[in-house]
Amino acid sequence: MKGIRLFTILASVFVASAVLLQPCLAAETKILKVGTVNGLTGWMAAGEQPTDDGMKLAADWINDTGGITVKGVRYKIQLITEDSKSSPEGMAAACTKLVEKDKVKFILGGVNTVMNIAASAVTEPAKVFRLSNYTCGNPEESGPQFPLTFFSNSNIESMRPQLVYLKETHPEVKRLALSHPGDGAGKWRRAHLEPVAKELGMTVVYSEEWPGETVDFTPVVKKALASNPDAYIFTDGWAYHAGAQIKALRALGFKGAILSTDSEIVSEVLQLTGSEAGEGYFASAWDMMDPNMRPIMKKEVIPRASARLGKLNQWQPWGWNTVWILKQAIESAQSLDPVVVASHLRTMKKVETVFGPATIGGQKTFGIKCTIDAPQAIFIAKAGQSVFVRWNETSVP
Amino acid sequence: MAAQIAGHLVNVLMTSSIYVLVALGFALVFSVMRIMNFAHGAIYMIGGFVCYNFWVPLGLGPWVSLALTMLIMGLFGLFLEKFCFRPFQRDFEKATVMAIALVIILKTGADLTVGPLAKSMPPLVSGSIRAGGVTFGADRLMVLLIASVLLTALILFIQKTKVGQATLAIAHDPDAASLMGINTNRVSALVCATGCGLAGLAGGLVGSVLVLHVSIADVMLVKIIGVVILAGIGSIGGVWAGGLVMGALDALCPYFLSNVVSDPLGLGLVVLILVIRPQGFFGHEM
Repeated sequence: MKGIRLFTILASVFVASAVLLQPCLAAETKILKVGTVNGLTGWMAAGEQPTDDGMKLAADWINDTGGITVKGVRYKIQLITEDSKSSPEGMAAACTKLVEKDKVKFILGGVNTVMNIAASAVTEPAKVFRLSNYTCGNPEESGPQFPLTFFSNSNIESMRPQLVYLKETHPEVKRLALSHPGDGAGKWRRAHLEPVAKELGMTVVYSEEWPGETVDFTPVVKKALASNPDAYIFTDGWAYHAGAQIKALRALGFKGAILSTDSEIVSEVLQLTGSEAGEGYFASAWDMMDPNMRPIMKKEVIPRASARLGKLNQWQPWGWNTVWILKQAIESAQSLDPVVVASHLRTMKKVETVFGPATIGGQKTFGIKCTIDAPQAIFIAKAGQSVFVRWNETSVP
Repeated sequence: MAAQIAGHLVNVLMTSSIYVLVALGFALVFSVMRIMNFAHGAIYMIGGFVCYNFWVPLGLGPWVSLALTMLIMGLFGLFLEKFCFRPFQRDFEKATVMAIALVIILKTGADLTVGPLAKSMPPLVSGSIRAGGVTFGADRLMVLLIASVLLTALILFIQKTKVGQATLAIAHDPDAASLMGINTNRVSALVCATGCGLAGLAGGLVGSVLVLHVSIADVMLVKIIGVVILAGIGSIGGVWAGGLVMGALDALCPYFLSNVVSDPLGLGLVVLILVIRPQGFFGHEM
């Protein structure tokens, strides 16, 4: 009798424990749908197609290494890819489809003012968290009125380090010509750059935008050169914009400094300009194969890009970053509520990126913390090669 | 001052000559076959990349590459005429659908093979020429020279040869030309081959002076349609005037006005011409 009672008690305890411990023991994996919108066609495709590839690579990496864990539940990322067609209408349509049909709560992608404004018009009212690839520093695309929108890169963060390097290497430079793509943000780029230039004893003598579809930059460059600049600065654009302008500048006899305060990749520009015309051009950029890149580039990004895509492209790390940052934000917040994730990301001291640890900035510039400020490297064209100069800490005030 | 004007004139003429090289092919195909070849911008773009592949990876150099590009794109033009345009020559709607389908196929093909990265060839001639305080790119002068020679040769061909005269006859009245014993299919094939060859060559020239990218197809198509409308639908000679106007707008507006106004101004002018003189500068009343 006593034995039966003991057995019954033990059996009950065992069954109760099994029932109570079941959630902890089960390897529950759910799906987290994340929308991505990049310019897969059109004039932005040069940089955005490989950015999109990078997002897919990062999603695979995250899923292979355990996914995203929120309150004990594991999530695998499922990317839903859309094409913005390099137009704001395409961006808005893609975001609308992701929000209304796919019911995503997180969207990645977007560059430049008009694309970001188009996207935020859809995502903010729908309370969808969006991590854009880029901000041009236009208050119409970033600010307290966009609490759920963040930017993994901006064209402000590298302005100071680039101008400092310009001053170090070309102390004779006093007059600057600024070249911006025609997205309406030229005046803001100038507004962010000009005070830094003035501090370093330089003056902006020319600042104009050109349409993104421009093929022949000779008239654009001629007009800039009429202002007698000592240095010609790209504040934004893709490598083929920079390459075409450098060719035109050198054909017109310009011998001054040519640089980018943004990321027109030096190796890509050299492929267009050739070693002679491109000599001395420097940008705030990266080179995946350079030994000075962070270890993750060599350990994860390059092998995965080679294995899955069979090719490397310098814009893949950009896309990788956005997915990785999102994972960190969600896991740090331990929530899938976009509002909670956004609020929490704003308070994080540090976020890891392929370029090193980044801080969250933008409070003074935009009135809200919204930029992910990662270190950037300076690369310069020397004898037809892209050569590492140094790493710079960057920040958007 | 004179040197400044000369500098601008070189740019205007170079830009215009590229537009005329491409637009002439488009205009010729329409005049002879009554087909709006919307794929002509894509043909120009593909010609550029074909030239790039001969020139850079295969290392054949500029002159052989340009010649081969003209030949290959010309052969492609023969293919297009025989299999894509001739079957629909008398049916404008079907021919238009075919042309649009060609655009999609060619551009998608380019997206898949060439990808989004831009390409560029070395300049035909290196260096700059300095005269009177103004600097010209030597390569742009060379492009202008090549385009001028080709266009002059084309004019002489059309005006002085039997085939050229036959082309004009078909453009004027294809049925009458056929009744007079002109082999319209043969002339159409030649016209299409010439148009595609010139467009491909223009793409190659642009790739050496500027930069090649898949998106240049759409930009060029809009330009050449504007040129042809300004010239007058069906007017081959008027293409010069249309090309000059478009080239002048693109070369001068960024300098004297703003970089972003040349496209709207050009298109605005096209709309204006369509409203007040729909037959264009040199076209005939419909």
